[in-house]
Amino acid sequence: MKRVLFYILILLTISSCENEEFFELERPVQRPWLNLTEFERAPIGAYRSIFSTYISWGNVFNYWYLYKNAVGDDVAWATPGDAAWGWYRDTENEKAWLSEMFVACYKTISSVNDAIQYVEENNGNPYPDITEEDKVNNLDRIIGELYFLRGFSYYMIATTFGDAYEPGGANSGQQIPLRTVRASSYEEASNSKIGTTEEIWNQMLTDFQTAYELLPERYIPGVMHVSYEAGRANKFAAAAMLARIYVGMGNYTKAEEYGSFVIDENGGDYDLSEDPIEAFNKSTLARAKETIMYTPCYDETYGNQNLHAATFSHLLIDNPVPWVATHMDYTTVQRLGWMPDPKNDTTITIVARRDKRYQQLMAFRGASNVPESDRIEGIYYETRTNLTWRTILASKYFRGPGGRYTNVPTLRLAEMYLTRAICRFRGGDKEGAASDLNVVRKRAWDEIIAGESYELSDSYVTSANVTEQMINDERLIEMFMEGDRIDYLRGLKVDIPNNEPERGVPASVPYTDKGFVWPIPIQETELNEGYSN
Amino acid sequence: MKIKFTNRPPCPLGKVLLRFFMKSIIFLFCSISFALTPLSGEAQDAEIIVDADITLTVRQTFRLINKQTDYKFIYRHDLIKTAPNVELKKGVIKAGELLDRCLSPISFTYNFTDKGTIVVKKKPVESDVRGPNIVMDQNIQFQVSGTVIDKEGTPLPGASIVEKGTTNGTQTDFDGNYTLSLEGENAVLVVTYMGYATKEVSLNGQSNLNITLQESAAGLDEVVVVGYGSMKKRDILGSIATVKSDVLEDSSGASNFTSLLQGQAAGVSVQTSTGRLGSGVSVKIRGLSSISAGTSPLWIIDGVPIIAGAGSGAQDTSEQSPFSLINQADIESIEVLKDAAATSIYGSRGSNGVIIVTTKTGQKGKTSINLDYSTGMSDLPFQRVEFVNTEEWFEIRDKAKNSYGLGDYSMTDFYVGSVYLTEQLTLEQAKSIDTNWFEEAMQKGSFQSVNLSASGATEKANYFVSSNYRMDKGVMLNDDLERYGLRTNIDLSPSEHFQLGAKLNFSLSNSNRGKNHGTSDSGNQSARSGGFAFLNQSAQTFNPVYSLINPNEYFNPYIGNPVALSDRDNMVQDVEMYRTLASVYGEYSLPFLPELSVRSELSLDFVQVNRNTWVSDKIRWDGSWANDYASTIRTYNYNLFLKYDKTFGEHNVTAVGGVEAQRNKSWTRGMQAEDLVGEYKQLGSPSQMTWMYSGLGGEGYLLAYFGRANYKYKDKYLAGISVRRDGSSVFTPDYRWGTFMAFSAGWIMSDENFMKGFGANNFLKLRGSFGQTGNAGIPSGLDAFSYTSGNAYGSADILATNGTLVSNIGVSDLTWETTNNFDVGLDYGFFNNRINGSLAYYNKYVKDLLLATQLPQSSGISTIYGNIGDLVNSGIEFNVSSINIGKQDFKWQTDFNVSFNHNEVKKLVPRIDKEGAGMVSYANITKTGYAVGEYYLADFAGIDPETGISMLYALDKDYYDETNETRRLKDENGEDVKIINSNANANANKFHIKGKNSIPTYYGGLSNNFSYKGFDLNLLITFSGGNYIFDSFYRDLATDYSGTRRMLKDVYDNYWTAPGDDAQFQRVNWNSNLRLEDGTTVGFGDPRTNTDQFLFKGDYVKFKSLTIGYTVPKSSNVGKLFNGLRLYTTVENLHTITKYPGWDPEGSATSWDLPQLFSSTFGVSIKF
Repeated sequence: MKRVLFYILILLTISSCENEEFFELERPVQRPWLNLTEFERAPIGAYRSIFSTYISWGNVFNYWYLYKNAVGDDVAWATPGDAAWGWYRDTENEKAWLSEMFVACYKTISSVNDAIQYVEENNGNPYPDITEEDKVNNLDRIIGELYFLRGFSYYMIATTFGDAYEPGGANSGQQIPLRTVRASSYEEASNSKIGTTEEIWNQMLTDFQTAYELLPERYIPGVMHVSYEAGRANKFAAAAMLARIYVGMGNYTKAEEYGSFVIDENGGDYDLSEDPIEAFNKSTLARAKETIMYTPCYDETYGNQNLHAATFSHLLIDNPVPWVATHMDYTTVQRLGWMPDPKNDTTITIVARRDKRYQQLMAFRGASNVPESDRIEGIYYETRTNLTWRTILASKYFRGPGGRYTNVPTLRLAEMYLTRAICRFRGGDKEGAASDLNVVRKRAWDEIIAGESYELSDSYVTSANVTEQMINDERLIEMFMEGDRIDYLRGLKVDIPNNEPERGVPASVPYTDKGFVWPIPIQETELNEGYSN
Repeated sequence: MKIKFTNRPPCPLGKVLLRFFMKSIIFLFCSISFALTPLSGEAQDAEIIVDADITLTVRQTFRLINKQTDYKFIYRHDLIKTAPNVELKKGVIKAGELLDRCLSPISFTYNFTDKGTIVVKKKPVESDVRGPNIVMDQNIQFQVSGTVIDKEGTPLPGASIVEKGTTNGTQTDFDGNYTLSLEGENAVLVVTYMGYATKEVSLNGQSNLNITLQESAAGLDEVVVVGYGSMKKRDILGSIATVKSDVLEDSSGASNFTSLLQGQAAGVSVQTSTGRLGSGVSVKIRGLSSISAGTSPLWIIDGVPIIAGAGSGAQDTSEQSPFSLINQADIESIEVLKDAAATSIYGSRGSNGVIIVTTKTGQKGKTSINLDYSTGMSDLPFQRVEFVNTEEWFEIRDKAKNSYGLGDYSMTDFYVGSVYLTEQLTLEQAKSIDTNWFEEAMQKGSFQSVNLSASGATEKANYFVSSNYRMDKGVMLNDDLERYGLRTNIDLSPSEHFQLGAKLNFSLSNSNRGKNHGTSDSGNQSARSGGFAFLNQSAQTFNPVYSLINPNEYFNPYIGNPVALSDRDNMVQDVEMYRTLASVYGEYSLPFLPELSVRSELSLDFVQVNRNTWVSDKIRWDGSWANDYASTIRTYNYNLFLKYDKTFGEHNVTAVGGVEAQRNKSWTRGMQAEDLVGEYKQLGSPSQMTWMYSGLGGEGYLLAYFGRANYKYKDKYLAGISVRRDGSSVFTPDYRWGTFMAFSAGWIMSDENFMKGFGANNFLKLRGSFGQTGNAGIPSGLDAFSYTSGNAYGSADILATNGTLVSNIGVSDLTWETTNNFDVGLDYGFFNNRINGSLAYYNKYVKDLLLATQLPQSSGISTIYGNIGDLVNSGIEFNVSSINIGKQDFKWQTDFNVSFNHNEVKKLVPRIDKEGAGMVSYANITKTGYAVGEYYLADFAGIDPETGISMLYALDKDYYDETNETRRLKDENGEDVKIINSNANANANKFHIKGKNSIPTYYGGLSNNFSYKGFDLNLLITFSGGNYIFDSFYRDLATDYSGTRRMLKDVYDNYWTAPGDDAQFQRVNWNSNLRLEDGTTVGFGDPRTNTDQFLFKGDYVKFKSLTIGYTVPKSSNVGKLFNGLRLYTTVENLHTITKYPGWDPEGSATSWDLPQLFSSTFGVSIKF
């Protein structure tokens, strides 16, 4: 027996080294950003997450404006009784696509927090050997973009799941998780601060302000990484977002300031010299003159665009589906003077026909009850529901030669003009307001159809006749179906009209109404300890 | 090696041959011999050359003789220990003289057999010697002799005959004869023989006694393979199920042998998800033992831990399993290790059970050559899902559209919005067509299989060589699988103490695997349309196969024409898989310490998968497309261990202990491109590369120390202990090592005196074990922050395609998921072991679950691994085997097994437990106190008989907010509140459907074998149930009245049509919009709501297979030509009894694929 033990002992001695080398992986997990060029991957991933990740039928940014459009008073949904109508406007229940948007935005936020922290842990420069030129043009730019992306993510989440900001109000209601540092353990990941309205909006201001300070004005070939050329934020994009945030916070002075910066100090990069369609028909690296920022979708391999635009946009070009469930609201159409009496007289008036935005970015849909024999080829007739009136639709997406591989504008100069117009108006500068409004209107004016020049027409605005309604309606037309309407009205701090008398809803609701706020995803409230603190 | 004669189909010649082998083996390996035939003069005179003056021990003397004469010695080691050394002078000495000098001093003698063996034994007392085979002590008074035979009269050599209560005994010679001297004429003889029931015979004064032994149904002397060794079944303490090799012997339609395990072993749930060729099979042992870590058992083939999954990276098709490359005809036995006593020695890999596959080895005796040929056909099962015809389809669409006041359905409605059309039908044309796509896009499957093997053995070597070829043509067009295999198993015994061997298996396969995706999205942009799912979902009967305009072209290939999608001119998905399973071993038993031996095994499993997927621009709107993928997966395993076996009087100790190392890794590469150049069906040098990857992955390293000791007292009291210490690379150094121990004990009660009344040759063993196993089935590198890469924003031309996003927070303190196993079992054999089996209860408590815990979404990552939560599986297993009729010409044996498993989550994340909401994932919820993944669905309240609207029960939300428990809302009258089944309502009113999940709670099999003369018949019935299937695929079909999906006949026959109808399905509607009789409209939203309307019982009973065989008698003219000739025919998947309305309750409920196919096989097996 002793001998047995002896041999066992020998055997174990030979092999009993709990040697760590044995377990060393040939490919352990590696840090992703080994040099400055690789650090470019951090913002690229974050842009991808919110502007280009293909989720179900669209991407996050697209879902954001889909739902924002859904609650707008400028939109009607097919016919009463259509399930989609209630579905998108239902803000009482959690919506799967909005939950996915919530997830993607926070994925961006957590990735940005990680990258920013990576920079901070390396004393502001993880790559000390880079040149000063690289530091300014690339490292600082990347950091600026990271702040921009975090701000933009919070912007989408705050405007979807958060209350409207009340200037002078407490804004103290706990809203959404406010995460600005990397979570590095289960405890940190499952327990976050829940930001108040005030904190969230201030965070957006801080992020966009930092971005504004760090970002360059434009892409410089040969100096900056080539990926920065398309679809990325620059100083003007950050300023435009600051303008939006300040409008949202009711600070029109500051909004005007940043709007002016974009309009007046862009060095000729942006103007409204091109037709409205130009912002929506680019299937290449090219950019329209008015486009401050866009999502590049032109690459047929990597470009992911919103198929769910089908729900609110005319999709005769590529991938048509019979789901064009929305159209311009009847009251709105009448107020704009585009139809004399929607539902009864659906003639498209000269007011619409002379507007290039109607011509180029909208379409009409024939009624479903037009007999097959009377139908005109090339016109889209409703088939899905028994919609028996001609309606006006947006047709802003998939308008480039690449069909769905058409870039989607995120920020346009026209919005800045209209932002500045309302800010000037509210600040008492009617002349300035009229001037800005005229720039936008003139760009859309079709002199041939109108038979007269814009300046000589009765559409020309002066300080004497300009009204807030005029600016608002112009913005409605300009930004139709881009997700702007509700947040604009909430920013103006006015009651929000509701054009659905047939549903028995009130004619208007306060801008603070909870009907514009979707519930935080249940999984978040259940799993985040912060909500039980 | 398992030696067993029962349950084999009658094959007289084969049987005789096999018995001859067995006799030889047993005879040669017996360790005691009492035969007394004098050494033949010739052998005795053989000259032994002594090179130099030398002193030798007895053993060394034997080796010297052996070396120079090739005679092999048989002797009892312990009896010659006292022999003095022999001094030899240089020169020549006769073998007989040398042996006399060795053995005479200790009163031993020897004899020579005609098999070249020298048997050494005690010298008999010279007295009244009547015969040659006599052992006598001084007090011997009586002598008996005779022959030991089996019931067919075949002599059994090497059978042991012992006088009961003494150590006096003998062994039968090669012809089964024995002679034994006894103390009295009333002695009782105990006769034992491997594979046969032990028999006790009272002498009653007889001096000539022929003894007939019955085959042991319980097979208690069978040798069962266990971890790092083998044991007699009688001595086994763990729960081990043996699957008989005869279930694998006949070829059949099964293209992955693991599917044949269904219903064969208690505690083993086998579910085949698809009837595609070579598809994977889900095998679960004793329930679901983890939530996030792996749940598949550890597979060991001939000591090699093998690669159980080798994905080809193909999407929307069922992957070919690497198991399909194992030739089932090579398999000798399969052992399923279930409890800790059996699996603890595998430590961190043992918590999901272990399946040990042993391949065949050569048997001593005449060389045997086997040739098996089989051919067969397969088809969809007789029970099919019925769909409406063209007329009925349009009838429903008309009704649907009219229900919303929009008039009749038109082809514009069908084609609306599709830019991918190449041709449109008029309504009139469409209504005149009724294509049966199941016939157009499918065919009768067929296969041919050839196996050729040779086996045999010499004194120093045995071998088994086999080759096989099998060609399967699937039932889907363009689906096939061709396999080649070669195996060589060789064992060598170059010396008395040393054995070595190698098992080498090379196999390769070529298959073409069609896609399986129900729709054609965006003109088949993702190149995945086609297959069985498409036939069920989108293949409209009114679409013709070929264009009406140009019959040489396919009709509308871009919107999905199943025949076009299956045409090899348009779509190729070729998968090549190569597998090498190789192991070598050496075993050395120490000459000076014969009870100890050392063994080492080195093995390799290597799988290479290459896939080429190619789609032409004829079926893809966006142009041609290809994806090339390859994966090389390697597992090396090395072990070194000592084996110890010693008997001290009535004590016996066996032990095993050693070290093991395993290294796994893989290398994958792939690329994808569009706009291909050239006409070859390959990626080539494309115009546009869209994806590329190459890299090392799958790294997993394991180092282990293990040991096991078993103790046996009086051959009836058993105890065991096993221990394993494992280190794994998936954990950080501080948490890397884990120790797993198990204790077991057994008591063979039937050997006790108080059980005498129980009867002879019956068996009853009580056994139990407690121990731990582990689970480390998680990916490596979870301790580090990780990122997804390849996040593109923009385009490739500006290098914007490789963005990063955080995907994982590093967790450094992960460690093993530990399972505490408790098992108690009773093994029994009644009526002379004609009825035998076992009953077991087990409880597997999984501690520190490696749980991928859901995180709040704001963390930016979805889950984080942690050792969180507990889970328990408990259950009962029962199996019985009964020889109902055991006559010589007619036999009937029944085998039955059933298992019941209860699964319950005991603990989850503290916050989740505190809130009580559970972890919700899609349609499932995992919650403490309930089984894993119970359903979480809206509660279907039937179709309102008055309105025809699908209704739901409303959730009591206040109660839910308060308790996180779901219950129905009551109105003021105490009645359940019903709401319409709209998408919004279904999402907001989900219920925890308690007690219902997808995991079967019971399963088993019933097998009946009949044999009459040369005929044999086997009928296998399998069953499984207790699970529920939420079939979203069926739901999508059943709720689509206005879309483009096919319509189920079930729905056509059972939808609501008029007030008062007690209907199964909702009334027709138009795009989920409904105009009621009063003119109001109702909208439901997306009708694909998750409700329990489509939650079906998964219970089934399958008439799995029926085999009829005929063994041609040796006496017949044909029989004389061969050593054995058997013809057989097998039919499989004859009928399934189930309430599930889809194709196959084993199949996928999210994208239907082929069910288990009906198949019929004809085979012939020839032995030369």
